[in-house]
Amino acid sequence: MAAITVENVSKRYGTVTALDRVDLTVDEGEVFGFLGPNGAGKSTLINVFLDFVQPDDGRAAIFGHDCQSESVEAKSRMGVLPDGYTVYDRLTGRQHVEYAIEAKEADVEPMAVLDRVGIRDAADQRAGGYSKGMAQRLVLGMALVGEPDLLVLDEPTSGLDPHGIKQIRTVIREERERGATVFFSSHILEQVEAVCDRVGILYDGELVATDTIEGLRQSVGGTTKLLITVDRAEAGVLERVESLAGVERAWPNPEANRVEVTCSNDAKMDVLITLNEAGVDIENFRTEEASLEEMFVEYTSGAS
Amino acid sequence: MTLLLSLPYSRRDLVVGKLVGRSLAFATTLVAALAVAGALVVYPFGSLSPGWYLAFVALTVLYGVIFTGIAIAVSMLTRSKHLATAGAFGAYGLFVLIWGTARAALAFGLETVGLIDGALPDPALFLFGLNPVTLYDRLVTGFFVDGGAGPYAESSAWYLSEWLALPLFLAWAVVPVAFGYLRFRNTDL
Repeated sequence: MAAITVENVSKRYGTVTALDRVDLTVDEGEVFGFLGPNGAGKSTLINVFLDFVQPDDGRAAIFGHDCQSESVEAKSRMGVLPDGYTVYDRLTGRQHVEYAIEAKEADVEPMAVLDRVGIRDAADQRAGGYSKGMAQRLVLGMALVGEPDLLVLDEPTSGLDPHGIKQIRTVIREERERGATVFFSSHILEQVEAVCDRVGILYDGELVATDTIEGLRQSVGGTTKLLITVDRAEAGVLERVESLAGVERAWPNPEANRVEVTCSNDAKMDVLITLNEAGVDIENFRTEEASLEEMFVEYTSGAS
Repeated sequence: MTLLLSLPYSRRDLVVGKLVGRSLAFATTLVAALAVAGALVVYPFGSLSPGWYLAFVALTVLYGVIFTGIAIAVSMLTRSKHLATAGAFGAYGLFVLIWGTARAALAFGLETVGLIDGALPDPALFLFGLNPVTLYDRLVTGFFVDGGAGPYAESSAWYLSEWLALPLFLAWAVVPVAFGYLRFRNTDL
């Protein structure tokens, strides 16, 4: 059974369309990255999962439980790090976790949870005195309580330092190992790239792409950039390189003593062989793969 | 609230939890205070009818539940915490301060122009008597004070009796919070 099923969900706020006929299925055991610039509607969809927002059209379900009509059943399968929460100022970190344990009828040691998210030392401090990053860790800890089948994390890395971001990644991997499905949103691409099996790109309320990272790369052209350091390069050679199948463009970069080529992944070897046969001395080379960033820009500028 | 509702709780759980939690908090204080007051009555005077006394305590607790319910209802109808607080105090101010003043002003006005002599007519009293503060007063006077005075105790109209005041009082404990919940159930957070 699919962990998340979203069918034709739309949500309008006045004249603003937050979600426009979104269809999405996330399979059990998948790590799904939900990408989009700020204000694209990512949190709105997550709020539909939690029944904070009622869609104007369509439906969403978590493990087959309708998010609106069976919200408690749906939520009992989820661990959630929501957007725009506030912690209880007067309760300690440990009390927060104890509260989550009680709510989910889980059997786990609060200190073990706090240890996992790295705030064990602050367990008995009031959460009102926590920094943004500590509060974020605390709420992530609450989400992990009870080994939920689905983790929904809304911008989990916001407010965290690089060390914290790495810890989040570790947690996501550990959860996947355990068999959980992870759905997390981010506007930061490399974070998604690092841990996700599949990504969806939301732009202006529309899901403009859903694919694996690799698939997305290919659909954007799958171009690889080759940076080849050479002793010299004549224009004639570059023309020959450009005529090869799979090569998009080749041009000299005299300042860096380089020839730069954009081509498909498969054509890389052909390029090097052609240069070599033409008597060009290849001193070094490296490749730059199209980053998710470029893909992202491509999708989000082409969609409007 | 976002954090609470991210856990497997429904919005109804949230509302019921708030109402019960807050009501219990002040009920505990109130019962303790009334127990001391009761003891002080028993010690010098030697007698207190426990049944009536418990009824009085229950009625007073219910009085608190009503205002807790109104406060929760107001907070469910608005997103802003400030508005919610202002609304809850506003409701209290309306019932305690403005309501009585309005009634006195109306009575004074009608008497000045010569339409009434002394008390307001029964239907007007019924309207003014719908206020939970007045209802509480009427119930205490009607049930616990022998030969109680005041316009309600002295009137013979059936709809001004304490027996009708009791269900009205109960309705105040249920209706505002139920109305707030029904609105809150279908709003986006």
